Amino acid sequence: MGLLETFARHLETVSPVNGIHAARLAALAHAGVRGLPEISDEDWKYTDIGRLHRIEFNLGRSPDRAPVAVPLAGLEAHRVVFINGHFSAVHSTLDTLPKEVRLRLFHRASTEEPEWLATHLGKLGTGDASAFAALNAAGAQDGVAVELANAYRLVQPLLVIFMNTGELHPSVVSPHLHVSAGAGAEASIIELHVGDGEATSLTNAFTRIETSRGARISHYRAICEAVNATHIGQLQLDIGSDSEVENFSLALGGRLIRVDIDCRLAAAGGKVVLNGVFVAGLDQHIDHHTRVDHRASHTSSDETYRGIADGNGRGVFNGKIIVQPGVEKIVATQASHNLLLSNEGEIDTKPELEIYADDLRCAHGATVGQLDEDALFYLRARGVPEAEARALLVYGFVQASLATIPVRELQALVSSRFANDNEALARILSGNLI
Amino acid sequence: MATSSSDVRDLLSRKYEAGFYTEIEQDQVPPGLNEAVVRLISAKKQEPEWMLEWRLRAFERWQKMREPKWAHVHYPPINFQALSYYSAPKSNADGPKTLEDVDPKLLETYKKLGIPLEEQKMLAGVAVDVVFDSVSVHTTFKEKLAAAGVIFCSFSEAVREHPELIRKYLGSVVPQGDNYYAALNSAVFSDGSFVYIPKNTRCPMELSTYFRINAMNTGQFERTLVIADSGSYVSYLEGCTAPQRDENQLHAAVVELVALDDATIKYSTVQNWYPGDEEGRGGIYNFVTKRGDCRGRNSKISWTQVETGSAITWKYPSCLLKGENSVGEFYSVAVTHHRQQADTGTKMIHLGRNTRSTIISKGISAGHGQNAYRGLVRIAKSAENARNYTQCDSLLMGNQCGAHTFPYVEVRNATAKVEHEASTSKISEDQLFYLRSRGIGGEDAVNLIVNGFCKEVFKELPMEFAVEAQKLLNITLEGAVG
Repeated sequence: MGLLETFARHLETVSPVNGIHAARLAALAHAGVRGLPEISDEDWKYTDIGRLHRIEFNLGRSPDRAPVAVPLAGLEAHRVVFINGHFSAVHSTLDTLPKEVRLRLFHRASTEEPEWLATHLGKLGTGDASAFAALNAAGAQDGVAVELANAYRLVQPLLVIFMNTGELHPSVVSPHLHVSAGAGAEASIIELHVGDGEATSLTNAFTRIETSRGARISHYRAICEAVNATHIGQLQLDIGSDSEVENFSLALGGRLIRVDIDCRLAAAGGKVVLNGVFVAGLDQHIDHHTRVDHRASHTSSDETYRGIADGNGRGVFNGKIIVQPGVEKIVATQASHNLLLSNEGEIDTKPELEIYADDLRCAHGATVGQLDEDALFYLRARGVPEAEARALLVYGFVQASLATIPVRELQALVSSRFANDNEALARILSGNLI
Repeated sequence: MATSSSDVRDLLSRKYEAGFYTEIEQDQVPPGLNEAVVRLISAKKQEPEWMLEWRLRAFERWQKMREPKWAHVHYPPINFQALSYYSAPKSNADGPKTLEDVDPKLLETYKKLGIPLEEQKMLAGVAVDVVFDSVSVHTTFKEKLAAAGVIFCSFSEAVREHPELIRKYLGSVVPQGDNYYAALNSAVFSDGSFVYIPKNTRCPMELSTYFRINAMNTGQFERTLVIADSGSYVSYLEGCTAPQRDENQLHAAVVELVALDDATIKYSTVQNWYPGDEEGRGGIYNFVTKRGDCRGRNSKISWTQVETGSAITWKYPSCLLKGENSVGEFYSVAVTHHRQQADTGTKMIHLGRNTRSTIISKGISAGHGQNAYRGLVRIAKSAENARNYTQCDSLLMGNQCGAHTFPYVEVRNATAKVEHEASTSKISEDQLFYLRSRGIGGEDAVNLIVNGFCKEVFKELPMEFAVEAQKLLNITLEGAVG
């Protein structure tokens, strides 16, 4: 039974409600036309999702009422929390949001503004929306769309948590986050995907951020899914003139993670910064595909990914920069740095340039290597035990990127997840080095 | 002092210099490809039964394969049944013994190209095995090479005279079913060169083959096999040029190199086939499979290529680094001008311990040219301490052209060190200003900058070739910057 059939069967069981259901069916049909990717597709050459077709997923998960500990509890932020695909009012703090931030929840919109929701989901069922983006629209039980008013600066970060609590039966959740920033608006958004338990769940997330003139958005997207989980993440960035978007993708937990970041720079002065850190440990497969499309003159992009593969983990990075014909004054840089720590692991990296104009400066670099023996010797000579010395260097490798995240609580969360699999690092971080 | 606009127009409208067509009698098979044609080619070449069977197996594979579509090039579909798969100059049934026996029209063709055979005998140690369309008609310096034990002959001759070597090595680097065009070549290959360097022998001269495509609508399918036995060294030069014509020609060659223990093969190519006119009409389709097998310990294979011709180039000279401490190198300059398209690069497959590879690729795009570098560096689990360094730079001349980079890096061993860097930019205004302010203007300034950009590759070419390559590059890019 294929994944598409699972969705089709599920949609049949839901009683049709106005245009929304029709939009979902159209999206499913679009996914069918696009077809789910296979390993023979160039973009999916290194990532096999064949096993998803062999799992009998449950799509209609009911809300979990059991008390759960939501991460980043200490962070001062506006919270929107979804548990198992459903909005959790207990954990969310919508009432603190100022009027300049308009927030729509899908489950409310389905009765209050059904036309809006139908149109919104309908956009993912046409055009060049990917099969997974369309499936998200077909399956999203709940989701959130945020609008920032012109010139409004949101002081506290907006924290959106998609949480999956342990369940034995495999299930699919379709988290959906949509942000549109008005001219000159500023905000920091943290999108967190967390899970626990042993089930072979599938998270098929869709995120879209669009900015108007001069808006500035920082977006931190962290994936800490459960051990057997599959996470497919589609991220679209559509950047307005003189607007700047910074995206940070952190991929830590989950058996199979695939993140597609599609960034459009279609107006002059647009700028994007893409950062990423992934750690593929035992039995993990983490794949990032980024695509930066320079469609307008005077746009720039800067991308740095740092990846680690340990145990039999496999890390994949594919970064594509496109400069369209007729545009000029483009600056684009890209770097992919990787550490391969085990002979059972694998790193595949492919930094691509597709350039159809000449007034530009584009450069990319990729490295795959190991820990620096000299640095290791330096630490050993000063009495740092081998395991700790290695952990310190590995941590230093990712810290070069992590340290740029201004949210300390998020840094701490990532570090602690990192230390879960590394006792030596845990000792260092807890201050018990020797 | 800058080149005036009428000069530029002059340069732009300049025709392909080697564009002419010599009419000589041809022995040609009617267009179309089926088993009978494969049998006919084999029969015409008086091949033994095993060779025919090998071709037929390849033909069977080819029929089941589909044309590859992944390359970053666009062209109308090729009708493989509209091509003729064999053509040979007719008037030399028994093969010429001396230059006097060679068809004078043929010799004239080479004179126009500036490669007079008579003089070349006296030139510093270059033996020329001329391939005119499909059959080798002249081989020089054979005796001198024979004294060293080196075998350098046409492929057909090797099939007759050295069947044991052919049977052992043919298809051992590029198997029949390797890819669509390699399978096609394996079925219908016309002729080519065969080189065998015996143990502990340094080939006394640089070996050179000039290819020339001459007959209308004839696909040319050379097959080259170079074997360097233990402890030997050979430098092989391959240069091409073709007369002007209107219909696209398919060229699908296969080159196989085998380097045994401590052997070194240096393979240099200057490719200047007809690129089509300014609108992209005509021009050669160059779909080539080139692969070297570093089979022995401490072996080394070095590819150097200067690609300025062809309408479409689809070429990835590769190295299989099997032997311990073996070394693979790839130095490339690829130029696309007018409507030329190139998808070229290399594959370095590291299998043995301590294997090293270097890739230096320089792409130049001008006019409406599309130039893509596509490379693969794979470090297998068995390749301890493997090392790769890749640099691919693109130079853009004009805002209608394209430069693309598709490098694949796959690492499965934790002791590997792999580095890749790439950059794309146009000729810097500062550099041009610097030269202009010193009285070097127009084309000269551009040539100076372009030659500097390509220097790392040119210095890998044998001297005579480097001079030719530099000249070619200048001619190719004439009028690219106004």
